[in-house]
Amino acid sequence: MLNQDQKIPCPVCKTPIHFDTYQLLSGTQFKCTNCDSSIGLSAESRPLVEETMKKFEDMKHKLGQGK
Amino acid sequence: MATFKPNLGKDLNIESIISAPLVAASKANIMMVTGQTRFLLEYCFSKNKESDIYEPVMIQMSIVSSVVDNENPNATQKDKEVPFKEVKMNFTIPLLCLVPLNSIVIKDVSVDFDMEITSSTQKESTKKIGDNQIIDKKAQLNGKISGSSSTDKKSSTNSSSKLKVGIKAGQLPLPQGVLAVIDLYTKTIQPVPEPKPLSQ
Repeated sequence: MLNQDQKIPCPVCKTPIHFDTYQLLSGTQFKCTNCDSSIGLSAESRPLVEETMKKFEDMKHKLGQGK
Repeated sequence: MATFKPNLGKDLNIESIISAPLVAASKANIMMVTGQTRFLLEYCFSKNKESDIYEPVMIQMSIVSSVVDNENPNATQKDKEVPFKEVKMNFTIPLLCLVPLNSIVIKDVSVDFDMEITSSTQKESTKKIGDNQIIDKKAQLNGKISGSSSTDKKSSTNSSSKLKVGIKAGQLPLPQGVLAVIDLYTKTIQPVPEPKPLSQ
């Protein structure tokens, strides 16, 4: 079970933009429903987010095994 | 870590039958929360060695927004359409905004069993508080968890006891501290125009 309610306020109009981290990592851009701006992950931050998500998955896996 | 291995064929006291699943659920809760906290501190925050303060790790995101293009030389007042251009800007947010954190906890534990009481004991303790003497009587029930036994063709007897533990998990809102960090940083998001490549 994951936190399905991932959102950040649009930097332009502050309307919440819902996103999915795994899709952000694959290059998907998410649009603001109010001002049509689209947000995405910068190329320079992608490796860090990718690594963190991998470690997050490892942690969940370990917890699932009771470690 | 201690593991509870109930010997259901032997006499057990009723407290241990009820408390064992509750203790296990509580341990599981602690394990999940501790794991997540450790992860947060290790990967989503960096510790300032001088001041011992944890600072959130920031990541960069980009935003593409349409703005009115006032600099467009082709735009004349005869054009009824307002000229737009797409501007790419960067902004930073804490890494923990992107991690799909969950606060899963065990909300409900049910223990279901049928017990055959085999013995009961009574414990009596006396306490003296001031001039008053308080007599505390406690009854302790011991018994076997009832179940079924079957004999198969090879003449071996299988006995199974019924102890059913039901667990319901639910999601809690993120801890106040984490929410406050996310809230503070996301409220101050300021897009900054992407730096233009240096002309040679």
